[in-house]
Amino acid sequence: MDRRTFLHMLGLVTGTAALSACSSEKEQNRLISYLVPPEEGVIPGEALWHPGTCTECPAGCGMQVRLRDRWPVKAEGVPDHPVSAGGLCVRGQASLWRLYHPQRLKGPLLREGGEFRAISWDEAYARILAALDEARGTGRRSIYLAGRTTGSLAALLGESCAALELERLPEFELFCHAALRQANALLFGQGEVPHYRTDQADALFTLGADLLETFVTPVDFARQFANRAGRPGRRWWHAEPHFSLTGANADLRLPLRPGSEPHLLAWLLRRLADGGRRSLPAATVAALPDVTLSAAASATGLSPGELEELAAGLSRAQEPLVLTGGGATGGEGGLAAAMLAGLLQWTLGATGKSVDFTRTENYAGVGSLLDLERLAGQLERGEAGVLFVARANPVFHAPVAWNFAGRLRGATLRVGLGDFFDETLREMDLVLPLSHSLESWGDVEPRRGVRGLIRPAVLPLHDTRSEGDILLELRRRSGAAVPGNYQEHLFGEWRRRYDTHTLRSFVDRGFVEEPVTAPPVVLNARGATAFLRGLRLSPPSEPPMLVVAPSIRRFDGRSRPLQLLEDIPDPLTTVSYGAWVSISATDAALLRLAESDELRLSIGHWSAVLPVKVQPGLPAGVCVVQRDLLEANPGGADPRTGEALCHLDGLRLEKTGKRVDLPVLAGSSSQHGRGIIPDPAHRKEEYKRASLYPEHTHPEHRWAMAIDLALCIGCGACAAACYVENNVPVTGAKDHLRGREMSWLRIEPFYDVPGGVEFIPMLCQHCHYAPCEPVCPVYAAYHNPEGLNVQVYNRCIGTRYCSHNCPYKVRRFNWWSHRWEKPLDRMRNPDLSTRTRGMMEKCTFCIQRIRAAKDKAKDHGRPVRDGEVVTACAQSCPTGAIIFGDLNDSSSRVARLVRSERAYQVFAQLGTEPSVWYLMKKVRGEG
Amino acid sequence: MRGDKWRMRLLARLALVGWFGLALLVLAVLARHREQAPVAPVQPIDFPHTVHADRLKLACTFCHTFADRSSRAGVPPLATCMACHRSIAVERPEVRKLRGHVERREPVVWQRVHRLPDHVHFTHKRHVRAGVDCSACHGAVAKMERTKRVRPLTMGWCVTCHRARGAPTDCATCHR
Amino acid sequence: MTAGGRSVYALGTPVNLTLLKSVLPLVLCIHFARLGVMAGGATAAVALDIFGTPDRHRGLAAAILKRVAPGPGTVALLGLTAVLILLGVQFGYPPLAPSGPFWAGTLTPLLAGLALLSLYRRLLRQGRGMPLRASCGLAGIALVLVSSFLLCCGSGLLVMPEKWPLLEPVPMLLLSWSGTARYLEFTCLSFAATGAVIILLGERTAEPEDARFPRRLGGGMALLFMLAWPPVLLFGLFNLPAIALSGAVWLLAAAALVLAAILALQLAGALIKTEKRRALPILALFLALFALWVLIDHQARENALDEASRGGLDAVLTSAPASEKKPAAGMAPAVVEGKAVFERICAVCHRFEVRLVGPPLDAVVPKYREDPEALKAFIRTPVKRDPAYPEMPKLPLTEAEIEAVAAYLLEKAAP
Repeated sequence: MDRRTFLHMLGLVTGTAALSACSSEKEQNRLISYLVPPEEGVIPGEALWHPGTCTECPAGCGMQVRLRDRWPVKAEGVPDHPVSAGGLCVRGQASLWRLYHPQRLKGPLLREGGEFRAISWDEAYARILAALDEARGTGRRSIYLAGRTTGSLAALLGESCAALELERLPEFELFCHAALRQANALLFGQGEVPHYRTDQADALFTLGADLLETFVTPVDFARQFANRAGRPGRRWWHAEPHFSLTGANADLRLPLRPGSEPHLLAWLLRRLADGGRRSLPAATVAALPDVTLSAAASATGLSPGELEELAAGLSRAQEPLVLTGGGATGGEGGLAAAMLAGLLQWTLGATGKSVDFTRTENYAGVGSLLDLERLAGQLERGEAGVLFVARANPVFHAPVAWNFAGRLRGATLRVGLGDFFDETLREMDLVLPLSHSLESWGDVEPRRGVRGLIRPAVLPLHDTRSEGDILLELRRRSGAAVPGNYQEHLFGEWRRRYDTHTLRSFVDRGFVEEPVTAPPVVLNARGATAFLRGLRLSPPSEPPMLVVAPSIRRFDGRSRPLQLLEDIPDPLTTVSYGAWVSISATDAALLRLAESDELRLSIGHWSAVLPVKVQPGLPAGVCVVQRDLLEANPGGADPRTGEALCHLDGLRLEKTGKRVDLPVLAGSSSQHGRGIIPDPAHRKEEYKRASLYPEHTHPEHRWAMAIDLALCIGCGACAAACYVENNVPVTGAKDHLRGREMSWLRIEPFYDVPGGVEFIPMLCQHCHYAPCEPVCPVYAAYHNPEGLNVQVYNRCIGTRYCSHNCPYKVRRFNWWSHRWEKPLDRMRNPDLSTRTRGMMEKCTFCIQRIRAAKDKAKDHGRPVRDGEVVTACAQSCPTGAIIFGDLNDSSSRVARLVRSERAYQVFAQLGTEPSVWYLMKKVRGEG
Repeated sequence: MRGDKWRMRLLARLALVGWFGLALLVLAVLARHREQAPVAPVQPIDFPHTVHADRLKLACTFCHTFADRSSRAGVPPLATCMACHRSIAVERPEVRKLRGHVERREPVVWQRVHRLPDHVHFTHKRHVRAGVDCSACHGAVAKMERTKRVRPLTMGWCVTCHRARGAPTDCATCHR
Repeated sequence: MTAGGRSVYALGTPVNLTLLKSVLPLVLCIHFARLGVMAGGATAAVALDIFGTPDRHRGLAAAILKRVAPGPGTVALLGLTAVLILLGVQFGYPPLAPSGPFWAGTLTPLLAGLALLSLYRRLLRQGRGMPLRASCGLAGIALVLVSSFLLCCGSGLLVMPEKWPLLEPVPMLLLSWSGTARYLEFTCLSFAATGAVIILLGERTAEPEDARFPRRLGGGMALLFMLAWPPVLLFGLFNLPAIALSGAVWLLAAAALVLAAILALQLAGALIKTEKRRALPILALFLALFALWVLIDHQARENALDEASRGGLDAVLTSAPASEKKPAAGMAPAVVEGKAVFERICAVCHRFEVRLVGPPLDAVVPKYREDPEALKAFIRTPVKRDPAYPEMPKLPLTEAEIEAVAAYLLEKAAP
């Protein structure tokens, strides 16, 4: 341990730990001294930022955490990060919940009988080594199955498996993109997921890939979406069987029948092969399935006109890009779709440009469900000795038909590494708790040439270890000479890789970009032709069918333990807690179902009972369930690619007659013509003011916000950021059903456009003439000289008059003093008060950040600069749709946007004069 | 008749005694309540500011290093004490106590003298940098054998000074 | 706010200050007791005069007035005590030297009120000009009460030193709940004592028939205000700032309550029993109660006003931005930096002229004039030289800082 770490720990253990432990009134009178002064640069009571990488999903976005007195209290994106460029999604924001979760595994556990009991690490290691020896003796193979692993850990895992004589299985990741990788291997010899640059394409056609939700790197795609949005003449078609957030944000959503993707792509390829940038060999073209326009139209369920328009758009474009993935490749025809899309990319000239094989997304070690099936076979045959499962949940993801949990019993010792008791860890004999990525050292390489840092921001909260440390310790105890701990191993690795300067910048910025050589990308025309010759297009699915969709809130289900993500509603349905099935209005009418009625879904032996939510814009005959909401994987795996099936035929629907209360947070799916999001023709009504009171003056600042609706994708990252930044309590399903949610910022979806949806983030509008202010009997709501509508919590007596008088319904009342179960209370931001029972609260425009910026400016003796105050929502927004600033400064970004002709205020006709301006998607009179 | 009168007088006297007894009770409760937050709580180590700040003329920020840099002035780490007390006045009983804490690696749990409610966000830095002397709010600490609270720390007191000095009086300055 | 470099709010400690401070409560007691009885008596008299029947009650009014209302001697006494109080505050608690307006504000209404009351007494004796007489009496009472209200508020200020520097920009700060409570306590005590005086008057009347009314009036009045006093006292204690409180204050308050209870029992006896009762002990008890009340105040004042709480009052309105310090001209940059290092670190233990923890530098530094390197070496790794001093600790100084501080020491130390 070096001096810094020592001081670190000492200060932590002695000083702040005890200090922040103060909770009761009496304890607050204690003032506990440090033993040694805090590290240089650390000022108690001031914020400190630690850069690192988000590990909530495989994308590897840059994430920095703000430490207050050594405890991480807020996660934010790292500006300039090559993957995320400053944004952070809703899951990244919630990742602090994983660190502080009360139900995290706190120490090694051993199953004895049916129960788990806590054991020491020594005992755990001893048992593993003994079991390994035993397996070796009996000729069984010990197996290591990990979730996606990149960077130094992947190398260490390889070495360790070799040293410990473990068979290292391909890594398990449900969204493994196996079809894409197989297709690219066949076509170009590159078995990789390329890095797509959708922002370079002027005509973009995405097929199934849910770019804005879970597809490979959603924050990056959201940023690319923002880059596209500003430029004229760009068009984005998105085809999918259901209605996803990605589809909602495309210029044109094409609802197609699942399974018809190869038909559509084959027709497109035939149609565009002639006029492409690169010509395909005649043999290849000849081998293409013969799909005519009418055949394609009848297979996909789209009109010939729509198809022609798509083809014409792509052929006209300078930089067309066809992209498939996600649900489109997760079916029987998945490989065909991926192959045809790859050929289309090639012939349209996208391969090598907007389809980048240089900085590919790193899925090298990832297998598919086929590998899991192989493992299941090994287990069944009793060939397996010790089975390690690390950071993966195969029991949840394996198809129910495989009975994976039952087959696991074939191993002699099952060792699970993870942080929560999930379906898989519950089946294990020995559970080893892993440290959070904010508690351990590490690195990831989500994309070739991009290495993200994982750096401890806090000492482990519980008796946990990092996976690297566990592996090294196992090797040491089995008699090998290993150098020190994982941290030393890593630093050795990094020193070998980088010079001092680069290493310094890596640790300071949280990432490093390494040069990567471009591989030769040449079309293997012969292979393609052979594949096409063997290709038989299977008929598309017949309704009614079940679409198992990925979830923006919980990815493949791994973020389920984070309750914050349940408090934030699903963007499209605004359902917060609980599971549901989305069905179309037609089906609901047909089956005489009302919302919240229970519906039994069954396919073969599988069945589930879920309440119904009517999803506008969903095609008839399609039922959608988010994968994380199901108890198990109902489908199988595509035998060719090993991808989980995303749409299932043969669905039977049956009304149970029961009702389940479903917390739907949106009051209405329609604006009822109130012009909250005005259509371009909406006229602004004039308002005349007469008042006896003196006008407000804003001598120094007038804070204002502009929200660009053309950029808002409705992802909810802003809401999550707001929760964490402002100590907004997570209330639970019971309160949500009573309409007592506490979120200061909500995103309202309005389904007024036929077949589409528009999102509008709604938060306190900080009205210049706020209706809440004059009705407060105790002046708890007042207008401050900086244009903020301030709520003084300690003055509030909870009459709720303000809330009743607010036309935007953004004020929240504390019906309870919300509890923060330990250690979640560590996450509370000390820069603002925690509200207690009987207080009204609402968005403050992150007044604590305004004050911090003013404080800093004052220290330097200068005025606050534009862009210096960034609210939590604006910081997190992956598309940069929220802009905050000072209206008094006429050159500020927000002032310029407010003057734009797209700018409008919600309910301007009421004369409230909000400080939030929205920028409508289109200018009045255009289109 | 006579008995009635006598009884009435007794009752009247009892009522009087009861009234004053009640007042005494309230007084006792009040005294107990107020003494619970003493202005000069007993500290685990009898640290004399008189020696350090008055006789030795140490600047406040010599020990409270963060007063001009952070919202909190910071109670000094024991290492700061030991920088001098490793060799100075080592045999004094209170310094021995201090050394004991350092040797046992056990922080000193001081009793807070100045405490603001949770809903007040006070920052030392801004006040110190505005040129407000520490003594304006803490009194002549250098003259205190045991540190005591000499200012009321009430909002009225804060606001009066803010008004007189032209400092902001917007609620959101301190309450958020 | 500072005079001659000495802080206005610093405490001067002349020997006779203690004497002054023990005399002040005595003067206060005399002043408030006498003034209180007078104001109370005048109020009772004016009330009897206005609402009573001329034949039955005016005599009593005149008798009360005769006893309590100001003759020239009383006016002189009250004026003198008032001046003494103000002077006492001026010299006993110099920071709060009563300002000109405060002197005028308390003395003028007092004297004018006293004059009006003596005029009223003359008019009543002559039995003339009822409306004029009544308004004259009422105005007199009001002025006397205003004066005592101001005095009470002034004494309330004495337990709130934090208000002193702000009085000039915010004169409204003179008013406080603490002062108001004190004034209410004074009123209660005064009227109760007046009641006792009226009983005494009744005792002295020859005819027992005539004695009944004054006794009832006096007894009732005294008892009523006696009963009203404890809540007011508690309110006053509740409003005392934390620094003014101490065990002594609570004990004195408890003693006062016990005394008040005894008094109330006595008064109840006087009210209920028809036989004669000696009123003088009651009056004596009242005087003792006044004395206790003044002592509570005195104790609170002494608690609140020590050197520590007065410190820093100068600083409240003055700003001394840190950037003011400018390096002295003609100093080498190294020396300037050395000075900063010295003041930050070395000055903890060293002065140039005198012994502090370490030896006076003027005595030890000149040794190194020939060999500055040795000085630097010593600062780098100190060794114990003189057994009379504790060992100097090794300090976390950079080489540049050692260089600078050595340069400064050699420059500054006496040759």
